Amino acid sequence: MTLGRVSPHAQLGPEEFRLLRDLVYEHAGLHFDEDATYLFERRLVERMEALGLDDFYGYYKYLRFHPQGGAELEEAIDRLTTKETYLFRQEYQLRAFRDQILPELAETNRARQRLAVWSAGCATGEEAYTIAILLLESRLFASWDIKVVGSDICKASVASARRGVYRETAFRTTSDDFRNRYFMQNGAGWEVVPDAKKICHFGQLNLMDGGRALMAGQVDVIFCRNVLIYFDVKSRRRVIDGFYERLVPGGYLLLGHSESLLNLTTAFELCHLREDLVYRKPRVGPAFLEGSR
Amino acid sequence: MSLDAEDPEERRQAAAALRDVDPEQAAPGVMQALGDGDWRVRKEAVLVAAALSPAPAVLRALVFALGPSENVGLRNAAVEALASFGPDAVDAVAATLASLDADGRKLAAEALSRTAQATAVPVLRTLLRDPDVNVAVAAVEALSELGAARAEEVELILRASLDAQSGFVRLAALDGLGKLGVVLPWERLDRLRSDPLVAPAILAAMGRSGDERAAPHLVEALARGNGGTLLEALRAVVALARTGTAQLRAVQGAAAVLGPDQRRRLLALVDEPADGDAPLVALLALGALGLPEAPARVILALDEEALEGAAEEALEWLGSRAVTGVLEHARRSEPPKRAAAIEIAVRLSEDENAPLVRSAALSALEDTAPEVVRAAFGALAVVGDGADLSAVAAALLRFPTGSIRRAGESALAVLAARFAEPARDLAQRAQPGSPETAIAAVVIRVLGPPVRGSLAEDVAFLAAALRSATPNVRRASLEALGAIGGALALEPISLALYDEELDVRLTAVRALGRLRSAEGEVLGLPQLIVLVESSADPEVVLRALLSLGETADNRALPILRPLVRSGDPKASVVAIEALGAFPESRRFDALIDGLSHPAVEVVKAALRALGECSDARVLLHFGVALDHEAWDVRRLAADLLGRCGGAVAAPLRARLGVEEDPLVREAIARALERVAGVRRSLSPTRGSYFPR
Repeated sequence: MTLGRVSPHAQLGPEEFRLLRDLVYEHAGLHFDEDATYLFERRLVERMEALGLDDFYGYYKYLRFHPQGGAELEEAIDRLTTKETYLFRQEYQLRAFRDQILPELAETNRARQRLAVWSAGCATGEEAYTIAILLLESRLFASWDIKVVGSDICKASVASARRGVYRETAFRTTSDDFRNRYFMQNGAGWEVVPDAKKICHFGQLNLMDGGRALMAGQVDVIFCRNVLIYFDVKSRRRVIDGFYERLVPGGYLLLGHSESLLNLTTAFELCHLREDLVYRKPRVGPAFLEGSR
Repeated sequence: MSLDAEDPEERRQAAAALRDVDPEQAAPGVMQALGDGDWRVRKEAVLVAAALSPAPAVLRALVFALGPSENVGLRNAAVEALASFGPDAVDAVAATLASLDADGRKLAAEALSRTAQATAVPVLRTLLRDPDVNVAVAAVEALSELGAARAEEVELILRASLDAQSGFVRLAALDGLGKLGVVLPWERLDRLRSDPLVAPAILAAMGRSGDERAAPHLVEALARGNGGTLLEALRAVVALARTGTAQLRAVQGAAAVLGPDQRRRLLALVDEPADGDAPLVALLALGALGLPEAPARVILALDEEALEGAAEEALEWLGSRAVTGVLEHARRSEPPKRAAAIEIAVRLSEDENAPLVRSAALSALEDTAPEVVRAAFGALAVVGDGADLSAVAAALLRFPTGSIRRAGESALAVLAARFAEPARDLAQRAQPGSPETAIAAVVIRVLGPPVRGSLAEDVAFLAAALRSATPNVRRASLEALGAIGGALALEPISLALYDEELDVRLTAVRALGRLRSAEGEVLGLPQLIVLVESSADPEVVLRALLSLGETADNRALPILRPLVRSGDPKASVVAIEALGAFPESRRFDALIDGLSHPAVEVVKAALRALGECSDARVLLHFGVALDHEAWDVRRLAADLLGRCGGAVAAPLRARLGVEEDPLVREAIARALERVAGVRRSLSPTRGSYFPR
């Protein structure tokens, strides 16, 4: 009887975990504490076996020194960061976005008729398409130049987001009406309609690459939900610093429900909406920040 | 261990141990070992003698060994060992010449040539007047071996020796000039033709001459020659054909005098069992002579491993008359040969048989073997017409990635440029989001807007294609955006810098570098600078450096120049390459900075780039690089100086005097030869037809 594919040698010991974890941190700034040992073992054992390696120390050495180590590290990070998500997640926040933030932006951006939203850590694109649907539904931006930029560190997730095809489980909180109007059923699942697809752009981006990342350009809103949990404090500060640079004055930063900027920065102001607390870049930046940038 | 031991291995070890003995005391032992009956002991002794250089006691003993002796092994080993003593050996051998017998003087000539010292030339010159003709011949041969060290002087001496009384000396001189690659004028060759002693050598010289007047004489020689003379005549015909189209025509014109029997005899030579390269030379000669029977036999040789390369060259000479046969060969061959045959047929085709090649290529588009499809793309790019655009497009869409896809896109681009209207129709039929978008993108890139509407509409179409799930569609669209986009394309290209596919990202970087406003302003420069300064993706950074260079914009110089001086070696080499697009006045000083880089590869890249500059100061820097600690830098510097010509012989000779690395010495010798203006024919030595 086969009890499992993991050989007795394939268990991830504390030292091996630390080596792998530090390597991932060094490369991508993603921080994992000891609780993630099981996650590492479960998600990386397949790669270790596929490469014909006997143990995780061998896998670590492969990542570090093998000519293909860089590509394999990307693969490892992909596996470690892939998360399950779905459309219209955290509905209360989306309502706040739809009902209060979008109308305000429609007003403030009226002259330039441009709107840009960045879904940072977009995984397989559910959040970006949700935002796109909300923008289209609002009917506030007809004939505007609107853009939703989705970025993720995981290459496979970005490719999947670009395809925009989802299974039933992605629609657990989506109304049938929305699904029927914004998705077309095909052999592989439900595909986003061209009208929503055409305002979405996807790319692979390590948020640790810094605030100078060009991809998103200057944006009005940043969604970064359940991503900061992967970073340690130092890296979070760096990522938030980058968001600050990318946001236009008055732009919004929307974090996950368990995330906050407490102890990270005072550059943003807290904004109390009816259904949520969100962060906003002051219209005139704090003098000390402006000077230091 | 003893030099007198019975076991040769023990004697060899005893000889090897002499390295650690004081040279004065080691000399007798070295000489004993050099005269040993076992070649391994002698070889070891030669190495030991070289290691003891320049010990005077050893040198004296070696020169003494040239004297009369029954021990041939010792004399030959002494000649070999003397080479390591350089200029000292020349002086010592010169001083002892008078006391040597004829055999000793002959060996002395050989020893002098092996020293590769320019000072050996006057000594050898005196041996030319030696009463023993064998010594004089040895001196001529030694001079030709020494040629590189004093090319000009040696050439003059050898030319003068063509008038020597002794036929053997004349023959040796002609051979020597051949080895040096000297091309004699036709008038001189014509005078020598009547000299029966030099007949085979004169054939070779005529082949190298590149003079069309040689053609009838060579054809006549192969018509009546046999054995070695026939083979020499065939080699000469091939050599003459290789010197140019006019010469090839002259050979083929002269071949008209060959009768059926003579032609059959030449044809048979290809299949005659023979040692060496006779079948290969005969096959090449069939092509050079353009005989009517040649195409069939040459095409058969495409399947013979030993003759395949020669067959391709012979087919080039046969030209379009071989096309039908080559296409027939393609039909019955396995995929790799089929692909190669299609490629050959295209090269050979002319207007009258282009339709035949086109038809074969269109059929080959359906082939199941990718390499055949690639060959078909290449063929249609040359012989296709507007009606073939759809077939090319359909075929390339079968290959989502890789080199076949790229070959298809290249063919499509070439055809679109030549047949604009059908290409535009094809592009207009592409549905947005469909795979055909990539086809439209290629056409838009080549023809420029408007293709599907206005410039803005073309840009919008391409920008929408960047959302495609197919990387090749995104890549093709980016290439088109970079070519035609203007300011409207900046944002879509910038977004694609973060594409999940590296290939697409790199294309986006390239597109940024090419993007220009209507006024010619480089639009993507700020983005490229940010990428170089902050991207964590090393390949993107390197590509961005190249793209910065391609802009030739002054604002890129402050980014590139520091990298040349002290960057990561890979980035430094790329930065040097990037500087290539700037005018010489702006890149020269930056390239000089590269010569101080700690990494040898960077120094070499900088030297090569400086080799493209016309500023006279490069000579000074190349001269300095001759003393670089890395041997490959010194070798490159020598090569570059050789190419420069002018007053560079002095530093080269100075370096040759102290250089120990054999490859650098060879490069310096080659450079000196070039500087002296020695002209080389395509085939400087016998039997060196391949590799070319």
